[in-house]
Amino acid sequence: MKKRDIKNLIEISNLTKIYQSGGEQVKALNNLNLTMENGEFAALMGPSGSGKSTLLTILGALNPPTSGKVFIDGIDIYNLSTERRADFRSTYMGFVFQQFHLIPYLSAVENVMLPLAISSKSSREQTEKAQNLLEKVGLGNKLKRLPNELSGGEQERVAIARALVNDPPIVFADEPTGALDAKTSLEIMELFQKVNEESYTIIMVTHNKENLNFVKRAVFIRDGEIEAEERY
Amino acid sequence: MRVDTIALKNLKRRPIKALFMLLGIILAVGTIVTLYTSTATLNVELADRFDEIGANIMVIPDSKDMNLSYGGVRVSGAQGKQFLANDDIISINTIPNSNNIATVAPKLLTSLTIQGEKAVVMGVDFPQELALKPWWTMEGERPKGVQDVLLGSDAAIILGIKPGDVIEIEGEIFNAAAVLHPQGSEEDGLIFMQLLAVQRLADLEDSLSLIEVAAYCTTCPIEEIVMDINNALPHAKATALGEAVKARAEVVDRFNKFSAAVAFVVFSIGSLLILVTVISSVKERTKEIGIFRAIGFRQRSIIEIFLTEALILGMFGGILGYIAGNLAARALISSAAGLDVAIGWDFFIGGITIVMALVLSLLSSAYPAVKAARLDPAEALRHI
Repeated sequence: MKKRDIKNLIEISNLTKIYQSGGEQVKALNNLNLTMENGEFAALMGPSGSGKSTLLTILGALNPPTSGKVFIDGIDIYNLSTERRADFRSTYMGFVFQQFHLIPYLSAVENVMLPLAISSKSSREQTEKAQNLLEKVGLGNKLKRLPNELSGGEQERVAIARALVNDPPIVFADEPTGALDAKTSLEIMELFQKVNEESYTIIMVTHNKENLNFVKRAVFIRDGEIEAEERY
Repeated sequence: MRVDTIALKNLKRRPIKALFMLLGIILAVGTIVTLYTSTATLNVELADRFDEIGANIMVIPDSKDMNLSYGGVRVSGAQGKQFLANDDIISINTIPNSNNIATVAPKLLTSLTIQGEKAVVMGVDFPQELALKPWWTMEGERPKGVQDVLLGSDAAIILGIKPGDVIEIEGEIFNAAAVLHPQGSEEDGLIFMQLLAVQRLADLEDSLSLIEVAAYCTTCPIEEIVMDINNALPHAKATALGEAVKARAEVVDRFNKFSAAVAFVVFSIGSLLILVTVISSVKERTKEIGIFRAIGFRQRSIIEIFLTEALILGMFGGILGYIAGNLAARALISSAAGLDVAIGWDFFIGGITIVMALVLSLLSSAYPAVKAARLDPAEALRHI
């Protein structure tokens, strides 16, 4: 699934998102236009409240925009029904959250298998796939550990393995190094870089400038608008 | 891994909460099983006790030539009339449904000369008669011997006889053993004697005016017993006493309605308990639901997780509820009701109980499950 022929994997046009807050309207995104190419490793950067996380959830098919269109692989994702959008997420996207957000009662291997629970893959296929991924992220010896038996960096690795288990073309990461120390952050960014080299498109929200050393493109957002873009 | 694995693991993770819900189901279905089992048993006991007191079938000769009246029914009471015979008692006691017969009380109603005056006398089998009419209270000794006479309250006044007096009947001396307290019925004007003595004195050997029967009609309908008696005694006419049957049905019906009302209340409380527990579980798991939805779980899959948990708890709750309810019913029947009745393991009732527990847990979990599934993933992820 991850190898796409299409050049522009993500296209957003005239994207606006307005939240209602205590009777007031707050414009989180204002008429945004952006294109992400296949195989890109992009960082969405900006201060708190700039709208970068809102953009990530909209791109992640989780948060319908107030107006504008989001095309992924040529599909207008907010034209899909809620359930079809869930299927779309399962097929096209993997998510890595800031606080890892592993399911606490499932072991490392079970957490990685989680997205496959709704697939037609057999239990054996699921286990093999999850084990391979955990080995790839360096946790082959901690398959049965529960999240609370793993360090922050290890939990992040499990979360990355979970995001990759369905072979999605796009991986979204929201502040993936936000809860990690400098050394572990470096290791995790190297892992993301490795994943990107395998043709996964990675879109990451971060405010850590150190992370720009690993990405191919940075999009700077301020007050819901694109302030600047840089390519590396 | 499948969705049911997630449900099972979550139950294991929150054993206290799962146990709480399980107890709710056990309590609800267990109480219903206890109520159902004990009321079903008590129904039989209640109906039997009810059937034992007072006749619910009257047997009279199949003849239109009757000269006396008893309980609104015309009966034979003089020479030349058609009577039932002593052997008819044996025939009634040997009908196919004889196990359902509690009391057979034969009677001969005739007129004899008492203290020089003609009076209506009823020959009865005292042990059977007294068993049939436990509400009879009297002054004096309960009549036992062949020479004992029991007088209705009015008859005693008219004849001027008190308990312990001697009484002359057809020239023979008898003992006025007791006088009935006023009954407010025609029994107040009657004189009761041993059946054999009346038959001899009236020269109506082997003759019976009527036979009153008290039958248990729980296990077989009273109409069936009446039909058996009519078949066994072609010369007689057995009739069910409508009022007695109706009163019995009313008592049993009220008892059943009360049990059903209590069961409904308990079921509702159980449902609410589970509903509240699952709603709180949905709130606690908002973050988790957000993750599931983000990684592509459909709303249906979220509902499936919650309902699978409900199904697992319902299944165990049903089995344990049936066992607990049955044991409680046994204890209740033997200790509280003081009855020595065997209550067995009824697999049919067990099956119904499990289905009931599943319905209870599924219905109570349905609303919170749908609510969880409809959580806006972006909103749920804000908890993250």
